[in-house]
Amino acid sequence: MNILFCNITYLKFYDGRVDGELKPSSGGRWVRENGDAHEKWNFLNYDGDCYGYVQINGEQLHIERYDNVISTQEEKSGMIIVWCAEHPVYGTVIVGWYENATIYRYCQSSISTPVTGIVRDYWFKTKAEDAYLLPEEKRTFNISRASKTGTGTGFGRGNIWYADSGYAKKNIIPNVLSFINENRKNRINTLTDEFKQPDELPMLSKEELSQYESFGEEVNLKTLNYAYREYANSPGPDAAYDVASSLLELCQFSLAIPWYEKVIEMDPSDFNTKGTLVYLYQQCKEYVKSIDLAEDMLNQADCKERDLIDELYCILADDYYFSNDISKAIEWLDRIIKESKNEELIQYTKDTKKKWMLC
Amino acid sequence: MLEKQKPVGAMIKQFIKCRNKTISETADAMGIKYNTFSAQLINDTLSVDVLFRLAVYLDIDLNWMHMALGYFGTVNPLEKENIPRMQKVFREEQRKFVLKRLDSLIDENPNSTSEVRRELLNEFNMFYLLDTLIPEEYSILRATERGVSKFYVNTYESDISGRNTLGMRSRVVQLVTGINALNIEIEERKDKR
Repeated sequence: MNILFCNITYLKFYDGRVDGELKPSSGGRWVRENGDAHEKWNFLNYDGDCYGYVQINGEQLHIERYDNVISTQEEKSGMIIVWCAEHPVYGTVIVGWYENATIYRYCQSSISTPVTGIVRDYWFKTKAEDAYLLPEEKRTFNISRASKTGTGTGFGRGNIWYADSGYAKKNIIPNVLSFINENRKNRINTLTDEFKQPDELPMLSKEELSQYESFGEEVNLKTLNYAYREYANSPGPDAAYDVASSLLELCQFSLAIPWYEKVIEMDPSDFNTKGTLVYLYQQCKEYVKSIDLAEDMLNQADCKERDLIDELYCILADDYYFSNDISKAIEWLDRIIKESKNEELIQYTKDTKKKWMLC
Repeated sequence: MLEKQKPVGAMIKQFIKCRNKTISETADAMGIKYNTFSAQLINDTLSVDVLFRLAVYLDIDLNWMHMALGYFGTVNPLEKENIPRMQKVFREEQRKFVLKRLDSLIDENPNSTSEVRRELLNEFNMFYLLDTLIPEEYSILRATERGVSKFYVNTYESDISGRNTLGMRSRVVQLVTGINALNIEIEERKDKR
């Protein structure tokens, strides 16, 4: 059975929010060290996917324990990942699960650019639509601790349980699968459709406008809805920008791109928005677009803006590197080495060049 | 392009209070009549000369002061600007003052972190709140978007050049928006009370 149980800290929402969320038992609300916070984002809809993390002992998940997985294989798809957490009163309960998930032997890191701001470490990945987080009142299925109920009946000392004992296969997994079937309809995590432009876009009432203004920089699904409606009734670059930046802050990078493009189309002089977009393209692996825009920005940049030019050279080097055009990537590194006045960057670039030349 | 965020006079009054001085004493030190100085604070008509002398008198880093008063310049569109943090001694004083206000707001709005945050932002500007409240070891970054400054807190930065798969910009940051950073501080304060 392609199932894995993971034990994580008990939270309500697991989407990184602070307002209304419990304090993780495994650490504070601030990210202070690796492994402390990644699991609190396990149900964050991150550009249409959910990325799951669990703290483990050791450096790999032994996926060869599953059928048809060879020892050199690095990932396996079609998994059910059952997320469990210890409630202070009710014990270890199922808080949610992933279906059709990919499990990785080694911990992965998400691609991160300066506009996205979070580096995610993860062992599992699934589409947001295949992730199911339960509300607290539905977290009623207890998973035992083997120390209390016997070997093979629950979690051992670690945070993962392969549940491949005869007892688990006969007595626990069928009940878990029933529980999953009954509770799919109860999920509370946000699906991708909720971020898309709604079909109906009525004008904002006076009250709604006033509320929208009072939100200030705060971004949530309500403010996103208001932003869509504001644009529909009063299109302009600022209104388009509000939609774009809301989507970005809600980690919907692919949805944000066309809105940033709209801003630039309406206001081609908006250099800062181009700066965001060039990184967003990179984030979403649209390297050709990122390269084109970076080169366009280079043509517009004042030659005295050395920092900006250095940064654009770095972006171009990365875009070509990620597109596997190493020779072109190295050309841009050479330009940095030749033209930059930043000694630290020059040394860093030389080191990077040595690494890339080995590729 | 310069942008101004909150009334200067109101912020200067707070600085004066945090240094355990009165407006009257400060006016004397500036060589200005009390009524004139008070009116300048209310109407935001303090001269540059007075602001510089206030910085010296109140022992405030001028670089920090212009940020706290909401005077920002343009920022490179690709990199967020790293903002200098205030001196530790000054922060301790400022923090007491802000925490006292925060505690009152929490009492008035015990069930709504967002309401507490909104009230705080009505009275102080984002940069000042972040600089006063968030841990010293974190850095504050600023980006300018469509002419408006946005602040972020960088909680973790490391050079991970050991990973070959990452590119040039492999300096890792963990950014928290100003709003979320304030939410965290409010929640942490609620926990401690």
